[in-house]
Amino acid sequence: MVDEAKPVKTGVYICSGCDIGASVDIEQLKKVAVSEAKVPVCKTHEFFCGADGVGVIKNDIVTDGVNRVVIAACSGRVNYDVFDFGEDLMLERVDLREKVAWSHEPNHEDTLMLAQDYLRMGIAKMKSMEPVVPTLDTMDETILVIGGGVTGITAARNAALAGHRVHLVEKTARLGGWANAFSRTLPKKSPFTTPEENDIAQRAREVETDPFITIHLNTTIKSIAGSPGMFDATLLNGKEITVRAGSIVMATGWKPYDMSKLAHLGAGLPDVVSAVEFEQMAAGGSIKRPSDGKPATRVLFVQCAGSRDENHLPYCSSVCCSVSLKQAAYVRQSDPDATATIVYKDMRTPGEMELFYKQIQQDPGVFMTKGDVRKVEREGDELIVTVDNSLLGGSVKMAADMVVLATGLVPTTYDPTVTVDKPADQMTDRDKFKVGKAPILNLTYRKGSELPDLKYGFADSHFICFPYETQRTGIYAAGCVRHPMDMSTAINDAAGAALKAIQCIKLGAQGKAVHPRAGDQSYPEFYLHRCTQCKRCTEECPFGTLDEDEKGTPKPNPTRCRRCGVCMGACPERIINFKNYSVPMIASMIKSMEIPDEFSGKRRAIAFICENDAMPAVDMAGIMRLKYDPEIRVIPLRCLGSLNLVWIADALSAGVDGILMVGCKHGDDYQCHFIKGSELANYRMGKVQETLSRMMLEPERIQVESLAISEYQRLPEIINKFMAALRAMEPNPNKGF
Amino acid sequence: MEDIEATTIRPSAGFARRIIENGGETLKKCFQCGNCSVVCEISPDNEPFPRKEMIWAQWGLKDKLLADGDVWLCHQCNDCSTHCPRGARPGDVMAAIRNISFYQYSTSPVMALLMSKPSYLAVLLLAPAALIFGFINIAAKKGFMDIKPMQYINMMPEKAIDLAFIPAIIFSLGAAYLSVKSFWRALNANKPASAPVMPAIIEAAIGVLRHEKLRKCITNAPRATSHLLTMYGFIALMATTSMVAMLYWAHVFGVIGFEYHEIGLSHPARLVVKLVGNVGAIMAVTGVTLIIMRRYGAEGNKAGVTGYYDSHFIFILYVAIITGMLAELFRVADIPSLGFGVYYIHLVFVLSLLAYAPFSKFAHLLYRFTALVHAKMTQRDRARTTAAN
Repeated sequence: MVDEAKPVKTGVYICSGCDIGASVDIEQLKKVAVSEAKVPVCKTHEFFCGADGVGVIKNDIVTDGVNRVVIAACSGRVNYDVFDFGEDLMLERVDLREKVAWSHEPNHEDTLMLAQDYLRMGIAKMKSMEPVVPTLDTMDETILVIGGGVTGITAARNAALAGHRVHLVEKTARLGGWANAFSRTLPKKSPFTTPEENDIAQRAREVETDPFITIHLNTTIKSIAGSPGMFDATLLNGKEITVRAGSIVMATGWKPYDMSKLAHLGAGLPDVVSAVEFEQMAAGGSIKRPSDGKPATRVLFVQCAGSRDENHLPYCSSVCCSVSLKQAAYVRQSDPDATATIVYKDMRTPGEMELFYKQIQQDPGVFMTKGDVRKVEREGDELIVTVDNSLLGGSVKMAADMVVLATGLVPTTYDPTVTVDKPADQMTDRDKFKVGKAPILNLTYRKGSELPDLKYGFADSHFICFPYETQRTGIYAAGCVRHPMDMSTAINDAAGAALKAIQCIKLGAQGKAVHPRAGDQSYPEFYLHRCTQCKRCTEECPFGTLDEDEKGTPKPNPTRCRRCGVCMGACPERIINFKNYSVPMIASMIKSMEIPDEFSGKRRAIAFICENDAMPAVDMAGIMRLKYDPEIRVIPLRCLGSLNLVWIADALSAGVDGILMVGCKHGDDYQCHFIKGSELANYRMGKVQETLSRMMLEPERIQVESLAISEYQRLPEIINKFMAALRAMEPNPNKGF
Repeated sequence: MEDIEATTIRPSAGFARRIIENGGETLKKCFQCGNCSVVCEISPDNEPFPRKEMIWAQWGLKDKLLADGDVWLCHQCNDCSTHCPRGARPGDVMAAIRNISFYQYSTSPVMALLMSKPSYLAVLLLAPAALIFGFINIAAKKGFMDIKPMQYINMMPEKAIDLAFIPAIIFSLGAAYLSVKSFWRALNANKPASAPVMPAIIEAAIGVLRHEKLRKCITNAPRATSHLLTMYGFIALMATTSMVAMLYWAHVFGVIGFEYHEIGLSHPARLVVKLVGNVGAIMAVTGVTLIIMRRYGAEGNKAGVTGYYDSHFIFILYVAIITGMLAELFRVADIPSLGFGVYYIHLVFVLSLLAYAPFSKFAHLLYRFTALVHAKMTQRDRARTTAAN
């Protein structure tokens, strides 16, 4: 913690290594710090990241009382370990290497002006930064696990083994979930060739005898209030009890797709069963036809029954193929002359299951073909399955004693029957979030009682980058409620989610954010005296952080916050700010830029760039020595959603010619780290462009672009095209005012 | 919508098991990616083999496989096996199906059975051995071992040879005719061929004589040479025997004024016979030796599976050629004790080769040629369009 009593003393350290010195005149840069900004300490070195260079800075901190350090050298994304002077020291990195020396013409006037502007902006930023005071809360270390299936019990057990008390809630009378119905399980260990003994009973026993785990059977959740570290869950089991938990693992699993919708595949005929029914039959010891009790020796499996089908489940459940292979093995073991036939759309056996597929394929009594099942009919004593587009040569008919429909997995969170009896325009946020969602968590959040989902009802926040994360901080999804998976994946998933849940508690206790800004101690502060109760912060927060009082004033919940700054960008009154990231801070950076007058022939533009994906792409462009226009200045933002419109007004009135915003891809397969930041920025920009038209400025002066982290090669094109468009317009008439 | 097949498939492991036992043990590894058909240099563009044969084989669809000419259009280049990502070795599976076809299309169930297993080999060899022995007993000149100059007709006169071989050849041709007929019928039931047959036969024959297909093989490129040598060597040897027989009977009927066995080496007729015979023998022995080295040597995996039908055919053919050459050598060296013994073995093996031809792998020439003719008539055998044209 910075001692408040100590006077602020800023040191600026300009490195001339890595081509910086060969690209810009270091003396001219020094003038910016010494003559313009009048910082008390300004030093140069040809190798600041070496032991000698770091020694210079450390010495100033210890002996000269420097407590704010601006290092003008390489990108802040590198050498962060070298330039680590402790959490208490305020540090700003000005990137003169990737964003200047490596991406612009050496010793050009424009390159120097760019470097000087970046230094000015860095110093201005440092001036308006304040020391961060972490919000410390008392975090309860208990973990609430919802769902007693294989995922839930594994998560509970893992959390308990790590020393956490666990409340395990299961709505039925028995732990184990679907796995209780399995005859055998898919292979979990090398060589992945034979179905394994079902060990669910053993796994359940471990949980039942674990003293750290409290099991609540026949229990549902009436409500969950609070926030990470202090969730209060009211459990319902005849009577109500309330338990406190620090974080939540949601492992409520899946349900099979409703087979009654599959009449075209024979659903309704007595000997047409679902994969789940067949599994129960096999677990019962014999494979017999429900119609007459005769042994079924010819079993035909229909894959993708209601899956990968726009009329049913559009997605692949990823396990059905492996399950049918396992069930084919049951058939073959029941009778040496029995046959198992599998008609598939594509045989999908992810990961090691490919080895299992190869093994089952070897059995001469297992027959497989790609094909589309057109119909299933009963003819005499047998079922006749008509298959179109088969590999056997067009359409064929196949005879079977029993047909198994390999139906897909639906998340328990999805319930299309749930509706709200109100016209759409009268629905509140809470109402909207109820539609199509099974009431499981019953959160008391202002933003809704269940988890927002990405697609098809699966509770997830960012499939690729942030597994287990949901759109509610402190609630982690694992197993088939997150996406369809097999048991072995679910067991791994449970461990991952348990670790996330533990991390949430541990970081929260230190006042730190969780993913993706893990470790960030800053927190948005609300100057509520000026709040107009417009509710935009509450509504736009992607994580449901804010609740509100009856008047609509936001009620913060620090441990729910991910520190993206979307609320700061949303607030028209500019009353939401972080100590180290604020509306005035960015405004001062904009103001610190030197704007050449309209007769100079030079233009100035600002690029607000998302620091999660687009910023690394900018660095990468520099590393690849891609050159781009030197008249644009890059300002990184925590999220494009944190962009406050006042900065646009500030920039335009300061004479900046144009503003480019580069954020993550949005839409259904978004890449935004904060779910909808870039989408919000896009939406807000529509409004700004209208304003520009009214100001008699061309709306094209403001552009929004999306850039993935891997698309660095597109950056010069985006910037150069934007600058060319700006040059085709008159200079901003506000220059010089 | 394509027409639904009239028959309903009732999967059974039976026929697939037979293919597996006959050298197609990799069969079930196929996952129908189609690489095999893409890399095959001789597969047609439309409904190419061997992908479809692979799944029919996995499903044990015997009727489809037996009526499928493509099984015989395949020349076991094994480029498919080389490129198969799953190690399903389609080339071997096709070879196994062909081996089963010898059995299935055999007109004599007894012969089919005797040809199918090594344990019956002794029976197969004993019959001609006894027959030739009987003829020698009856027809050999007294003290033939000591008659000079040493001549094999002293042991087995020309008439005896013809009496033993001509019925065998007639039996063989008759059986071949019946097998080809039923194969042709199956092919036509599957894909009716209405084009004129003669041009197709001529075109197919030219293709075979030029080894057009085998020369496209990559993995099994050496086979084009070894098969060419064997085939032309064998034709030359058959021509040699036929010439001698014709010359003999020409003399008997007074068409020519000399008796072949009494003319000297300088006689043009004898010179021609000896030249064709020796060149043929050298070609055939080289060809079969190359085949043996490849099939049973380090490259055996590339050559593809060698089943009992293959081994049987190679064995009989090789022994017949080698004993023929040795008999000549011993005669020139005048060693009757070895010479007559070797010649006896030679006769037994040549008789086996010819008499059992339609039931052994020798019949590959029947089925493959039939399939080629049928393919020409149904436009299945057009040259593959390549990127170049």
